Amino acid sequence: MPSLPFQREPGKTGLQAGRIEPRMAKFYWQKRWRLLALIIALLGFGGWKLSGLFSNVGYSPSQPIPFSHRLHAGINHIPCMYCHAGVERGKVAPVPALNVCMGCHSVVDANRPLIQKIATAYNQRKPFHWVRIYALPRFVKFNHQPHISAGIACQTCHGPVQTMRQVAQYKEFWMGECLDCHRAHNYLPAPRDYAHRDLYYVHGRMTNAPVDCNTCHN
Amino acid sequence: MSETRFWKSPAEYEAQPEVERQREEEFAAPPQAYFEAQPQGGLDFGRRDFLKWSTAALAVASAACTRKPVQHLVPYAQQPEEVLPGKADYYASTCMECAAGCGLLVKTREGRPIKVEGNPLHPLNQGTACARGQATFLNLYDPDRMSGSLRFRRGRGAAAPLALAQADQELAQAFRAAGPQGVVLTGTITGPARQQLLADFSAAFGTRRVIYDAFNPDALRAGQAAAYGAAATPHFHFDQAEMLVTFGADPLGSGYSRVEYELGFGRLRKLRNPAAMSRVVAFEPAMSLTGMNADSRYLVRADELLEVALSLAHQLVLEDRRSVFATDATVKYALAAYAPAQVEPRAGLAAGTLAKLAGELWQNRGRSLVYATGLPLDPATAPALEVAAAFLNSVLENEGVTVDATASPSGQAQGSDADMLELLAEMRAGGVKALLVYGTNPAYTLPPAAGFAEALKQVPLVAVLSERLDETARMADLALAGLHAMECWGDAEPVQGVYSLAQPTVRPLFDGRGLEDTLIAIGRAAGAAPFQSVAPAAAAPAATPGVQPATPAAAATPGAQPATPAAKTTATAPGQPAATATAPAAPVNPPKPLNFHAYLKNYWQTKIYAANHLAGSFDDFWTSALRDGVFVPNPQLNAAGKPRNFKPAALTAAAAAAGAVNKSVPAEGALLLSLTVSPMLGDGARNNNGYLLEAPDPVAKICWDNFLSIAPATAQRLGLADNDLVEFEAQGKRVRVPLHVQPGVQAESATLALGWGRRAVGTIGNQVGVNAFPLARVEPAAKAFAAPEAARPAAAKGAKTAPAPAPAAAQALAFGGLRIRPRKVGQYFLAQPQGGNNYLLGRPIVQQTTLVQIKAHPHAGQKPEGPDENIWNNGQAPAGYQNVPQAGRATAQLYPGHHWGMTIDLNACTGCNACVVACYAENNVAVVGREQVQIGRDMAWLRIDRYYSGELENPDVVNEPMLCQQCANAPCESVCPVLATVTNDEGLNLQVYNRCVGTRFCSNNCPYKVRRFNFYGYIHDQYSFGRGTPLELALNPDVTVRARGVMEKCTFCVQRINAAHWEAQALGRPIQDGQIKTACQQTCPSQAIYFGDMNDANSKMMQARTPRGFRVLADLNTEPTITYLTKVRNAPASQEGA
Repeated sequence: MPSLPFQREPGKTGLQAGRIEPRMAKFYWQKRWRLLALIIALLGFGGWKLSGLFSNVGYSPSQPIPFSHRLHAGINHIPCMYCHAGVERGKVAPVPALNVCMGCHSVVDANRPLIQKIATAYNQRKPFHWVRIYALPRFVKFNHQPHISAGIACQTCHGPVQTMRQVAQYKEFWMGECLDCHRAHNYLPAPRDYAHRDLYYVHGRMTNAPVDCNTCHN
Repeated sequence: MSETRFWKSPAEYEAQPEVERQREEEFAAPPQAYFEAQPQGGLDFGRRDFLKWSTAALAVASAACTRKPVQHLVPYAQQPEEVLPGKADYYASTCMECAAGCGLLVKTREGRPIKVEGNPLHPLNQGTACARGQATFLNLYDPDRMSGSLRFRRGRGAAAPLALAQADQELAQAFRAAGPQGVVLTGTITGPARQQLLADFSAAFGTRRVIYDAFNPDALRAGQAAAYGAAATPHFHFDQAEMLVTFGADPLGSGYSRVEYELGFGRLRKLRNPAAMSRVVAFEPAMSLTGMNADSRYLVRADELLEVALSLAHQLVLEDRRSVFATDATVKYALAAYAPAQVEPRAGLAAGTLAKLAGELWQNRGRSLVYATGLPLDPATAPALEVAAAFLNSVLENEGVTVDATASPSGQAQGSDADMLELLAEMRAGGVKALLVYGTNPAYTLPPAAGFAEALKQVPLVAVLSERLDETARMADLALAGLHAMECWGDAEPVQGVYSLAQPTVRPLFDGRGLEDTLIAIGRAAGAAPFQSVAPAAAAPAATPGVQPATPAAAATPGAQPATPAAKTTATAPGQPAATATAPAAPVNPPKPLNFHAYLKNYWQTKIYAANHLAGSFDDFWTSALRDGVFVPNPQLNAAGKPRNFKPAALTAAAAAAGAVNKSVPAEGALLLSLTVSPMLGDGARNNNGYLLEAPDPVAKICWDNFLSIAPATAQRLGLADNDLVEFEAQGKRVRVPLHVQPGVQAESATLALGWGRRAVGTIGNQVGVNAFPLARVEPAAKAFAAPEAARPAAAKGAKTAPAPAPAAAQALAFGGLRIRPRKVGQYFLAQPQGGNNYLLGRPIVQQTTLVQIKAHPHAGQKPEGPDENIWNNGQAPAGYQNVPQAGRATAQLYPGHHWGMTIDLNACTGCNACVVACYAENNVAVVGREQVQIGRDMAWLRIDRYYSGELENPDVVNEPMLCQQCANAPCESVCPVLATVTNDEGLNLQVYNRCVGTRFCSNNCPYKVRRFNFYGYIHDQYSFGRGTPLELALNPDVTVRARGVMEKCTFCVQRINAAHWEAQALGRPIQDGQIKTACQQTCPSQAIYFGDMNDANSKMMQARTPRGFRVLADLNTEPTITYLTKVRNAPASQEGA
């Protein structure tokens, strides 16, 4: 009687526990195919990475209003979340509505032509169409809230925005970037007994970054 | 007791050779011959062509742009306070899919509704919703809705755009001129403010109001009037009915408050401790949703039902000498002829059946229910059957307990066939000069014999206000575009004392206007006083003209807001911050033009708020009522009503009606056809809804078609087989319909579901199935039960200011009693969504036992988990097989944090499909259409498998919801070459869509066949969420829209689990039990599904796992995390081992 192709080794979780039976593995990876596949993959991936063709780092489109983060966040020290309010509660860091701008600019520098452009747009209820810089594929369900709660600075991913006149993309937003950070912060072992679970989930989860697929993909 | 043998189809019952052939097939093979005979469309595109083109496409794609398409971020100009992008808001509202008036919570994201759930505070549905309620938001985004009002030149078909102001003027003049000859024809409207507005309109113009729905309880009202002296639509309390007896009725599938019924039904079906549960007995000609869940089901021809009911009464009262009626001479005389000894052989019941039933009923007196409110099959006997049921309820002291017509009677079914037919007679005679139709579609639901089309020709001005250009709207002069219930204000009072509010959750998507604002506009155009301005009391806080667009122009420019329109809020409207600021200055406000929001608020202030002497200001009351969605002044809804006194004279009339039934046994080959209400589609008003068309019929498990159901024995006798296309003549019509051989149909009966075959509902629903409404008969109503005028429902009474014209002979509709002779004319192939090859092949997939046995042994009916002889050779498990019973402990080590699991109580599951539709809605599951379902490509993540046991003629049924079992040893994972499906550290079997390359190995290897492969990127196909249509807005943004070539499946709503994690993290506490509800669990009207943490022994889910629990195919060592609870039947001792 043949053994089951899949067995779980006790004490190991998730992926580590599953192993593909050697007989099947041979079927998938016969020697010469493995070599060929490796060469193609290396060449392809290396070329892709080096070419920079698909890199978005440095993407800095001009915006309908040349809003300067350097002036607001850098020189005037306005906290990020003053305008991007709600990022600590929601999935996205909201682009501030025009009424947020007008909260200050109905008084501050109200005479400047660009401010008047905002005022006009606000009065006509015609919001600007800002050009999006940080975009994720639709199958990635990123949520700002747990990152803010865990005390991650905005600059960790978005770079020194407070020094940018015009915002540019700071990092590649590839899965590796996410996982590097999540793996680095995935150090708390889960408790073996149920009694300490609460402790773990209250305090542990605050800084313990999960690396399950469903963290981002569902 | 020998082991129960389960089977899924007559073929498997009879062990036909094809079953053995399919034994080794992983998936059911569609009949090749049928598809080869179909005309083939599409390109001739071979494999080599495909390779050429894909190579070229790849080359072009690689040479193309280096930057992703530029995306724009558009913030609000003025952000509504409560709207946070990326976070859902919930608004309490009321479901208007039918008149049952269940409370809803509408989930909106960025101002657009994406899901509805039941409102937990609503006393009727208590957080649950039926399949139609779950599907309602799809109707909102339906691209086939009317996008503007039209003027038709009747008879010529040409349509021209119509300005609303002009239509208002025209209607105002016409109604002014018509006076009492003007008629407002609506479906049931329960809202007190809405009814008041209609009454105001009637008063201002002198018009009449007629209420007509597709299905009307005329017979119930007539029967109640005869039995108790006053017509009533009682409020049935299924939650107190320890014993339920139905006579040809389907309360769970078509009752006028079916969610409430199912909630109560499910509660009592669950096994209590010590072992006890309710008992359900059904007498019916064909298997209904309720009958499918009955403990004892008796096959009785439709025309014998009345006799059986009277005979049961005879047994109880005359033979067992029960109740005060035992000495009543009238009763004795009326029932004398219906001794069970005579009736039982005629009706095909075993001798002693009724005596035993009577004994059980008497034991459960005061907590049982006899229910007979089905479609009227015959106008002469339908009220008599209701009288018999009323009598039984009175004898059994249920009156005032489970049948409540005094404390909180129902207003959920106010329509009347008789009124409608009377109106038609009047129209034909030229007595109606102006007609406004809303919320009902008589051109579709009335049989041609009623003569609606001809009658309409005699009316000079017909206006139809409708969401879509339906059959009736196409016959009108003015077709006014209406609104979906989620776009306008409204209220409802489904049962007396439950006030429910409906509020808009999105700005109107199309240029339409609700009924109430249309009436106000007509009234204003005519200069009628009540419609001119807002009453001062309501003016100040109600200064929110943005709620209803006053002019079409306002509705046409929602683009002022970003792509998603601003949500309406509970207390203040967004973008109107000044409204509250100016509130104190109310007296100097110039009068605002009245809109329905102001009218509604004013009504609630002056009537409901004032009448209940509430502490606190009205504004506080209004805010809390809007937040809760419902206001119940007296929460003691279930307090006993007063029992009414049964009038024995009614029984004489009922007995006379029974004696007059034409019971000529159908001639050789002829069948007695009863029409039924489809539990999925209801009256078919909103058939353009892929969810409802694709979720299969709960009994037959067939979607995208209706079909003639006949018994296996009958099919054999007539030489017919499953999937034959048959033709029969009835009512002078030739009807061609597919045939389905359905176990559990009476041998001389056939059924066909209503609500299909729409001609003008939209691109999805048009011409799907066969319209059975033309088979209804128009017959003279039973004179003995003619309801006195004063006994009409209160709603209609108030509006009837004009004197009624001379009454014509009362007529009624009948939905049965046709004799048909189906004969084969062709071949068809009904679409049956199924997992795998659709045969059990003897595997222990489902388990059942009886109450008596479970009392004796808590593990009764279960096969012990372990190697099964049907799966392993000779019951010998292979080497390496781990003994399963210890697995539970092993997994606790593997998943130390949370380990999500589910418990499903097969006792409570009725198979109603609410969970199936909820899963579609929550998870962006695609609707694929009939052809794809036929070849086994349906995408339902959750299906309800139906298993028969017992005899072929009248089998028992077990419903088993089947979804991904989240196996700890998942067979799918070990065969995935790219690790697209893995177990996470909470025991969830994940599916990573972006990693999947579509080998389909996992689906092959899944023993539960719950994985679905997306062959064509269905989600943007015509049946689902077509690109560029508003339907795209209905997609859940939290769930990835799966692309073509990707395997998908249930993940226990992992997006909800993630959300709970985030919430718990933000609050700094662990996830609470009950914090996560999967979509199926949340909506289940019978509360059969529990979800929770398997590591938490105190969770509701683990507590529900009694010794009755079993795991499906656990002997494969998959370690599924779903535990099912063995189905327990409350069958009497004599049926043990049957």
